Amino acid sequence: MKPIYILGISAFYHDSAACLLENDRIVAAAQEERFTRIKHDFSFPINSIKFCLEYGNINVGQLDYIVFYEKPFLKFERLIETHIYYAPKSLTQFIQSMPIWLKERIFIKNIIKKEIEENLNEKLNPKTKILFVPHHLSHAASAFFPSPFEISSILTIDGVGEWATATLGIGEKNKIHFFYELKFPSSLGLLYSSFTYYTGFKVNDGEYKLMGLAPYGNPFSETTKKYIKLIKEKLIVIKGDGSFKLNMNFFTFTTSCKMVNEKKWIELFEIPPRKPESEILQEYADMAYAIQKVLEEILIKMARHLKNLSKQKYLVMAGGVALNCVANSKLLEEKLFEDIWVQPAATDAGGAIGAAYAVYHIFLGKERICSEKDKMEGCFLGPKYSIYEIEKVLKKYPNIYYQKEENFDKLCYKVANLIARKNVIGWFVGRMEFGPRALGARSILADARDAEMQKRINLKIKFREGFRPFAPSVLYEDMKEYFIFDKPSPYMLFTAPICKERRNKLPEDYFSWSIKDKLYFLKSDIPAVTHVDFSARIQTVHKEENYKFWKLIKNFKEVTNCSVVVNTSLNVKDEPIVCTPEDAIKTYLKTEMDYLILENYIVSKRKNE
Amino acid sequence: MELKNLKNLKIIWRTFLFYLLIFQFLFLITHNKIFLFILLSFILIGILFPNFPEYLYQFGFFVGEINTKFILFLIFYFIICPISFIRKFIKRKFVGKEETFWEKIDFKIEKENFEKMG
Repeated sequence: MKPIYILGISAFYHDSAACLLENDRIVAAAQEERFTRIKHDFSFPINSIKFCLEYGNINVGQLDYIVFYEKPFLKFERLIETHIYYAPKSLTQFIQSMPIWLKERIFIKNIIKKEIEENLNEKLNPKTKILFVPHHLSHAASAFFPSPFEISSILTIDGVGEWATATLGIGEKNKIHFFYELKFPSSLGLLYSSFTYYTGFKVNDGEYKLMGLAPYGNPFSETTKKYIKLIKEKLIVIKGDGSFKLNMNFFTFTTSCKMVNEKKWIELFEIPPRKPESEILQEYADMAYAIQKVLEEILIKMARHLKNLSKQKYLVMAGGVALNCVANSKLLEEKLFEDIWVQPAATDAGGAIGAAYAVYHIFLGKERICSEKDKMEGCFLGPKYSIYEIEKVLKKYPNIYYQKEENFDKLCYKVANLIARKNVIGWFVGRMEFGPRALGARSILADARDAEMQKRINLKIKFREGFRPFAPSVLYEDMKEYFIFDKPSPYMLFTAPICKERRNKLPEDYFSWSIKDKLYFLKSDIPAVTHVDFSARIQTVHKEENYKFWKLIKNFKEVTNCSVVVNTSLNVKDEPIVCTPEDAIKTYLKTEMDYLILENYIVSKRKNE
Repeated sequence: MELKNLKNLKIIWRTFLFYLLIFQFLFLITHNKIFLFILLSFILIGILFPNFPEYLYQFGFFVGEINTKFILFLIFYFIICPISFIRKFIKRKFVGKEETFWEKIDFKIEKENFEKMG
């Protein structure tokens, strides 16, 4: 029987992406930023589409459906309504946004057709239908359909889609039903982004930095308590069922490019907004801690309400807020649900997958077959490069030296030894990951036991803020030796505490220490991946799903008796994760990384190494 | 300038001259030769300064931007603002009185909905 090909597209807000489904199998998916090298690129994902079609070995004419991840008219309606509601304050926003919408975005059907036909030099099949799926249905579908659960509750939370900012629903077989939604401007994502902005990080980019900063806050200080109180009393009204409303007197994201009314925030919190790249004072860490706590409280209340509505054992989540792995873990600890599955590309990029699945299961009514494994293929859905392609690129760089190791097991053993000798390794193996996390295909790897490693990678390799933590990749079978956690976490979407016996005793006044002192205190026997609160954003590595990476860590264990390595994305600050061997070499050359592994090649900056 | 834009520019330039020619034909009825004069001047300037069409294009683009903003400004103050004030007057709402802020989802996920953009 002829397979059905569905191309899912997300674009024009942030993290444009494309995904190709062949029936219910994800053939390929990629974010546009990886090809254009513009972080969070929101342009039409023509490069991603091109890659998906090439990888699927099909041409444009073979596509049965093209689906866009939101309803442009509904979004336009929301914009107009917002301008009307906030007039005359919304004048600037109105003048800025309307030309783009009137010239381009409401003609999205034509844009899709034109971009594909012009750039790929092929005509769309007249039978190919262009469809549109509501934004939060795309998120819900991206969470439920690839998940391993036959029936489950669905929670989606993000900044904003068309109108919805959060939805509660249920997925059963090939159907999704929504119960309730929260509407713009009441948005948990935008509340968190407001604090991201105020603490000096970029909106839609620095949210995970804010999450990483939160544990540096002092939970017992008067300032932190005051911040939590102020947020809950002045900025937001939270109901018992997790619904909430923002006090829009304090926010300006509806009327200007700034997220908050700075004057009012300064009066409220008694500190000015932090200037980007300036020193991080304790007050900002306390503020990060406070908003993280409020977010967790809302998330748990929402989940409890959803549990009462759906009565289901399982929960699936998507939307940008679902990437808050600290909150996800708190939710898991509450034991409201037996298990939680989070879409690894939970932001708008994952919307491309969700939209495509919604067409297959809901629009076409095709049966959904569940198995124990999810359908994300370990998130390795991007391009991969052959030995010949890599060799060709290597020859272009006379200032690097390389050797080929035909036997991959031997290569793993060599690399494990290099890591054990405190070298930092760029690891470029197999298909690129889809979503924001490097999971062992485009990663920087290092020894987690090295106390200096966090500082070294942050400052000399990634050129980023020193406080940022690193994630551990651990062999799944050895996980319990290191972390208090009992479920697979292959996508780094949960945090887990380090086992108590591995921790060093904290001094009594630890919580009142400065950010730097906390950072440099030796917290455990795997200090490079232990955050200041003893938590770690854990990735469990499974032999069946991620064999080559598993083999490397296994070899590392044989050499060092340690099953944990530092795993961070192969990129530098403000750049997307590398995609091609050329990107990897360029990144390698501009950093102090010691070696780069390109499939079977070991690349070095020095001869005879 | 990119090749694609350059081609567009040439088309725009020729269209512009063509329209001047048409206008001139229309005005010939009234024996007015003003457009012929403008047409010849532009052709001459175009020959003497090959970059002129590009500058003219950019000027046109600039004027277009200003026009767009001006029109939007008028729309905002003559349509958006009055609607806003009327609505605010009719719908005065007090925050915090509701028991919940969740709203029932009023759309059904149906096959026909997929084909609509809104």
